[in-house]
Amino acid sequence: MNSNEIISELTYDAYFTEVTGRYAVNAVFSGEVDYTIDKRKLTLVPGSFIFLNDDTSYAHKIASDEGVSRISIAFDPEYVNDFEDSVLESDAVLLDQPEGRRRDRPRLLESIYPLQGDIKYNLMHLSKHVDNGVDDQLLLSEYLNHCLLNYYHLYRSEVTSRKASLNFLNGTTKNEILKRLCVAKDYMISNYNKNIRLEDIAEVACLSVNHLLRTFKQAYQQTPHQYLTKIRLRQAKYLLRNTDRPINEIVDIVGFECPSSFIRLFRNSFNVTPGKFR
Amino acid sequence: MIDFEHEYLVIFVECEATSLRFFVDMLGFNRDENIEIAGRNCPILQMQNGHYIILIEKKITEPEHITLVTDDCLRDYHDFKKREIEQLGKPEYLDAGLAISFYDPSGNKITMLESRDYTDA
Repeated sequence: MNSNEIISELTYDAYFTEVTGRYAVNAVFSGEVDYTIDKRKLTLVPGSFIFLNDDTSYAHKIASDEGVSRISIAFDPEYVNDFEDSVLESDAVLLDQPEGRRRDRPRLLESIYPLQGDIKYNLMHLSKHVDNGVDDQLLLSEYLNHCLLNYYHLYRSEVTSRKASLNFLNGTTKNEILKRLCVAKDYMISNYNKNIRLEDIAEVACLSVNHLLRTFKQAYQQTPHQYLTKIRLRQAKYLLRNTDRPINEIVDIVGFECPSSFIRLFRNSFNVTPGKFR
Repeated sequence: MIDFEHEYLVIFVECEATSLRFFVDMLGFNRDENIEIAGRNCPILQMQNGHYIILIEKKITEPEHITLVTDDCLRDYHDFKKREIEQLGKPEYLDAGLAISFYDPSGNKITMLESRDYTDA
C-alpha cells in the first residue's frame, strides 16, 4: 500500500509551508505558483513542471485573481523505489531478487522541466480524471506509473545527455556544473518577464559570466540570451492562445522591449506572425 | 441512417455475432443501429470517443491492421485489462502518439491510437 497523493484544482489563494517527505511533480496549466526551496525563489509558469526530491523541504504560494489551474503529485518514496526496481532493473535481477534490490533512494536533479510531449498529455488526462471524481486506484496508478516513465525519459534528455555534453573529464565536476546551470535556467524561467542581466544569472548560479556562457552553450547548445528569448516566445504563445490581451500588452508582459523585434522573432521561430497564430 | 457528419470505419469480420460480443461486451463499444449494405444488415457501433465502426461479415482471407482513434489510450488500456482482452499489448510510445494493440476474434490487429502533437513545444 502506498500513499501517493494527487491534487488537481483551480486555486486563487493558497500557501503551503514545509512540504516534504515525498517526491513531487507539480505542473501548472494556467497562472503561476511561487516556490521557495531553501534560499531559491522560483516561479512555475504554464508550460513547465517542477520535480522535487522527497527530502527537500519547500513552500509554495498561490495568489491570483484569475486563478491557477494546477496538478500536484506527491509520490510515496516506496512507490518510486518499486518503480525503479521494476522498470530499470533487468529481468534476471528481478527473478533473483523478487523483493527488489535494496538501494538508496534516488536523488534526481531538482529543476524546472518543460511540460511537453507525453508527460504533458498524461498529466492532463490524469488531471481530468481527478476533476471528474474518478477514484479507481488502479487507473490512477496507471497514469502515475506512466508519468514517472515519462519523467525518467525526459530526465535522460534534459539531464543525462546534457551532462554528457559538458567538456569536463571528472564526473563530479560535470554534476556540479549541470546543477548550477539548472539554477541559471530555472532563474531565467522564473524571471523571464523581468529585465535580467547576464551578471545576475551568473551570480545566482555561482559561476563567472565567462564560465556560464561557455558551459551553458555546451549543455544547451545555445546562449543564455537565446534560451531566455525562447522562454519569452513560448510564454507569448501561451498568452496569445489563452487570453484576449492585445499583442502590445503581451510584448510588455513577456519582457520584450519593442513589438517589432517580438514580431520578427516570433515569425522566425514559428513561421507565423503572432496575429495569424492567434 | 448514416450521418454524413461522422466518419465510419468498416471492419470485415468472420462472424458477426462473435465480433459483436467482442466489440460490445469486451471493448465496451455501444450498439447503435444497423445499416443495409449489399442486402445485408450490418451493425454500426459507436466507440467511447464518439467515432463509428461498421461490422461487415465476410470470409476473411487476410486479416487487416485497423487503427482506431482514441482520446485517452491509458484509460482504454486500463479498461481493456480489466475486461481481460487477450493478447493486449502494453502501451507503446510511437512518433504519432500513444498506442495499444490487440486482436479481434477474426484475427484483425486492432491498434487504438491516441494521436499526440509532439511539435508543439
